[in-house]
Amino acid sequence: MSARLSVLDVGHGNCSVFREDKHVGIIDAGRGPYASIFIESSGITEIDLIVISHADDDHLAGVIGLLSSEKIKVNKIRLNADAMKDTKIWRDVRELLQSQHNQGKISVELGIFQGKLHWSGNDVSLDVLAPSIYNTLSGVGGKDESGKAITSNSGSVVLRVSHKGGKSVLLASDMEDQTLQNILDSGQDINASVLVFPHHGGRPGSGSVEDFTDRLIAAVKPSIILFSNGREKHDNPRPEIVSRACAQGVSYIACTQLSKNCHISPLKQQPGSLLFSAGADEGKSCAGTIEVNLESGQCHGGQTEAHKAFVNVLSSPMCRSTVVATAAANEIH
Amino acid sequence: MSLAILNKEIRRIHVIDDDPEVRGAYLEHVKDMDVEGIDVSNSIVNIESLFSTIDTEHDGIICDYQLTGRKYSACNGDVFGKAAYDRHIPFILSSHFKPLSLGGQRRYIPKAVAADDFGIDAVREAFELCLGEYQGSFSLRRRPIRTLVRIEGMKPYGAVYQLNVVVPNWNPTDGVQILIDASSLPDLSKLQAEIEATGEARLTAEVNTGATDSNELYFSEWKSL
Repeated sequence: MSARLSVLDVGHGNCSVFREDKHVGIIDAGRGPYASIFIESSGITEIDLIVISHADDDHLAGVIGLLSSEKIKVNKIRLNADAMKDTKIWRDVRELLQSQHNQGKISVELGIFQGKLHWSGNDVSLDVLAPSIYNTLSGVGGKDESGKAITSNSGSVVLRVSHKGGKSVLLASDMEDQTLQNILDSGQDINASVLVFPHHGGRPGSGSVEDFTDRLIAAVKPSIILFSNGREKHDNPRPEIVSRACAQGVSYIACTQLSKNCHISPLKQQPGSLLFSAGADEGKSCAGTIEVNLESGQCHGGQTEAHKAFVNVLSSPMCRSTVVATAAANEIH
Repeated sequence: MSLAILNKEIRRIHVIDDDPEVRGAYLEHVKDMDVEGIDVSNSIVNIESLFSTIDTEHDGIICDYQLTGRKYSACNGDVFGKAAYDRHIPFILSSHFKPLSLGGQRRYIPKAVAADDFGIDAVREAFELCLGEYQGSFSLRRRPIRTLVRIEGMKPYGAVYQLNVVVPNWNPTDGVQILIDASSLPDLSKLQAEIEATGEARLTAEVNTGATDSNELYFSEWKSL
């Protein structure tokens, strides 16, 4: 089976699972049980690597379920530790990892910074684009190269999952304008076929949303943008972000859950039309979990068709122009 | 007269409540479902005496929570819920009390409703959930996931402890109060000492972290980290 990456519908939060042959990696674990359920129901019993981009609970909390599980073995975790976080949930993770480490169950690596990340597969590679070594050594609460304060979000890990054939997915976590500027200043290539848009399509720091969106899309040049959003939180993605993405010629846009901006009331889909979804039972899902073929850089074809059919019944879908165009292109092929 | 749910034919539904009027109202619902209703009007001496009259293949149960008040039953509805679960009998618990605190038995009661929410749809949903779980199929809201539980306070009430807990994988900020049998908690003295010293302690348990409401949460199979 081809290498693939699944952007899970975990509600508001981020969790991406990528698989190459028998190897499994997870970037962030969302909140709630969904990462654990997805892994268990996919028949996965061993995870090679978990990366936690930063210590906010919508990226972190689900790792507690993965690490507590007696059905799943986690071999290694790499955390973007946050010394400023003395939240109880961060202490929960610390205690759990201490216990697992003492029992010899897991390899824990602290600190994560720009450069290649070790991955056991042959066709997929992982590149950390941010934070830089300079910023990692400074840490949250410190200053970046330009003298700006580093926050949990601006210091979060930006990671690209690439296939040797040339396609890639950029997982932007909660990066802010400052993070983007740091990456661009470092001269790194940030290009990717698929962009999982930062901060669930919410406000990217204090600057202009439109400017940030334009700059990010111009740098990444994605043909597909995905939003890992929750219907119940923050009304993401912001309409101005989707609008800018459409204007910049992105060919396909999809959200894991149904934004209230697209349809004011919840809307249930036909059973079986979604791959996996935290919100399906309550009519909160849109595309649900979105699977990307890493070799082709395309979303799962049947899923794209189901998404198009669903978007067509929504009252004001922000992504309509891209979804219809993609479906038409698929028909031509 | 029968009700087909998940390849099972429900022919009779037993109605348990210490108030004859409430039983009568439940029986009306059963009639509307085109199923034979069984009025459990005699006092229930113990679990076995109740279940000796129930056909595990074709019967279901509608049961109120508060049953001990009029010497109607030796135990409350949550205990019968656990017994029904063990015997794979579809079951729904109803109560006019909110919230529905079920003495630690929520794991074995897939659907508990406030009296105002009781109706045919609730019964059907409850029976579907029960029969699904008996076949090993859990809804997202009911699926047991082993996870860390942070205990921020504990108080004994005889053989039962009231625990103030946070399930960070469910809701990192809001805690819930639960009642747990002392015998189900590992290393009790160590747990108490840790809470006294630091204000918090951590165990793992099977929790339905997909629950959307705190009243749906259950905790079972407690273990040390």
